[in-house]
Amino acid sequence: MNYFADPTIQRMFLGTIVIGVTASAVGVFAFLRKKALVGDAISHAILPGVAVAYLATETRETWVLMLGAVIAGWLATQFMDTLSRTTKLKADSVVAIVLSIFFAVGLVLISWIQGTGKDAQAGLSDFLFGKIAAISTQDIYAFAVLAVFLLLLLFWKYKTFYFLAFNAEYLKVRGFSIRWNDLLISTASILAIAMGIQAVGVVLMSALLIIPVAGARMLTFRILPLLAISVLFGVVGAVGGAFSSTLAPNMPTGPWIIVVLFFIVVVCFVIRYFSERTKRTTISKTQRHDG
Amino acid sequence: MMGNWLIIMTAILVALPASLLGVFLMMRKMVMVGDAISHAVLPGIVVAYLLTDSRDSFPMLLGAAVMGVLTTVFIDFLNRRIRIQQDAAIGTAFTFLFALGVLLIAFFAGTNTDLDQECVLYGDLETSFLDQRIWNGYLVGTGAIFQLLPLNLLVLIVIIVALRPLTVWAFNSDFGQLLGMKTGRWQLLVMSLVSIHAVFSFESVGAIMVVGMLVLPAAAAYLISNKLPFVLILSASIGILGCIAGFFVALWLNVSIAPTIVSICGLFFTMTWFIQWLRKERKTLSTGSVNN
Repeated sequence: MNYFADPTIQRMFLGTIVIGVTASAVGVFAFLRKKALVGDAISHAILPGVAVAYLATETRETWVLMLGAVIAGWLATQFMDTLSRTTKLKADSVVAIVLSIFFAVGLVLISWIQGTGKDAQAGLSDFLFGKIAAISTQDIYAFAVLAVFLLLLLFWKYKTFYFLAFNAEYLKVRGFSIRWNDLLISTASILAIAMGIQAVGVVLMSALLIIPVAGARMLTFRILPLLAISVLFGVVGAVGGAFSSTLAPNMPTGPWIIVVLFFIVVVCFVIRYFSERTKRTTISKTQRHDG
Repeated sequence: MMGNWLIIMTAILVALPASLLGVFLMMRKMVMVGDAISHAVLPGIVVAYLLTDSRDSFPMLLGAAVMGVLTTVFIDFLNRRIRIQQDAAIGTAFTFLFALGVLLIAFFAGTNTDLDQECVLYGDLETSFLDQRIWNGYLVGTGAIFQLLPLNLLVLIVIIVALRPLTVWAFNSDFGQLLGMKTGRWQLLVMSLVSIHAVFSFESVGAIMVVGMLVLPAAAAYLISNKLPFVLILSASIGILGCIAGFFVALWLNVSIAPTIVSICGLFFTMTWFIQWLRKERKTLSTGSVNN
């Protein structure tokens, strides 16, 4: 019983759950818009924003770094849009270009900060690999408020975002602004990514957006169940990952969450496989009767 | 200084095959697969390292190369059999494999300190020149250079000999299959080369910088020209130039070298794009019409 009495463990569970819920809910739309890898680019692109924010203010306040992160993430999405509009480069090249430029500049800045001897490199490198212990209680409260806000936004506009993914023309005809809604949903993704990056790190953050949805997508095609199931998977992944990481000392939390989520995908696949097989056999039986 | 030139040489030997292979990956729309491979070789490297207990060994290379090829198979499996859409399949596969690698490192962190997460990012280009090979009293190179040189030769030979089939594979795989070509084999060949390259770069420049070296010179070259041989040559030159410029800028600013090289390549790309864009604008202004 005293397992959950430990404040560090409480914080870890709360933090991962908040991050898992937000990321998987926002991830549904990134997934449906076939922009799963854009999330990867954004999470890499956040790094220079964090470094510049630190250089400009010399504080390690979470909200300052978050602001830098959001600005950098937003610049990266704009850069990607501009590149794909003005050049003949394919979408995946554009993602890779923006990802590598921003990330390289971020690494240069961080190594420069380290070189100037300012203390904080320990703090900034937490962003690279993620460290759930680096998140304070106040941060978790702020994240929870932000998460509620983002979930409300998604709940309020899920239909618009759904059409944005599948039938943007229809949205346009109905008089909705594609640009505005696009901005809204990409800002939501950037916020969700910026939130999670301290916990799971640059490389693995995109997985929190994609993998729960990839699992949920095997079980349903409809948007509301899809949202609900992926949020559920996000929570299960967060709890499972956080719990597994406490089983042995010095275990990173982020990778465990990813492994648990992947396991969920495998289970979903098995469920779908068997349900499809029963469906197939029923159909062939009825056909035999007909014939 | 001799050390400087050895470091530049190492960087160039990483950049050259990357910028050449990157052109084909870009044409085939598989750049992110290359990125995925460069992350996914991590568990292969860790397992091989744990089994053989050394960092510069043939088994480690083999393990990671196998891992790289398995990654493409894994992505394909997720995409075709499990029916996850392409981009999500890539994202799922490489993050899962990378997470496995990090966990393996964490599990065995007590037994060795030589292999850590930091080296995944930065590599150790700065110290690569310490591992010098002396022959008959002359300095002939470093360990990293002797690892990379055969790969460079191999990539050059493959591209020169097999330019035709590789082009068909990259641009129009279906047409190639119609002609009776085994496009799958060419894909396997390119992916194995990318994997081996990822392993070597992992040691010298850090795995995460690989994607920059793959895509930036190739994309800049592709903006300039449409002719494949010319794109290849341009891409290689941009990569080499980026290494030399990046090294001196890094020395000047006193920052780590590998990310600076990629940043300089990024600068080259952005400049190329900007000049092209200006040109297009001027053309539109002078002719008074928009033609795409």
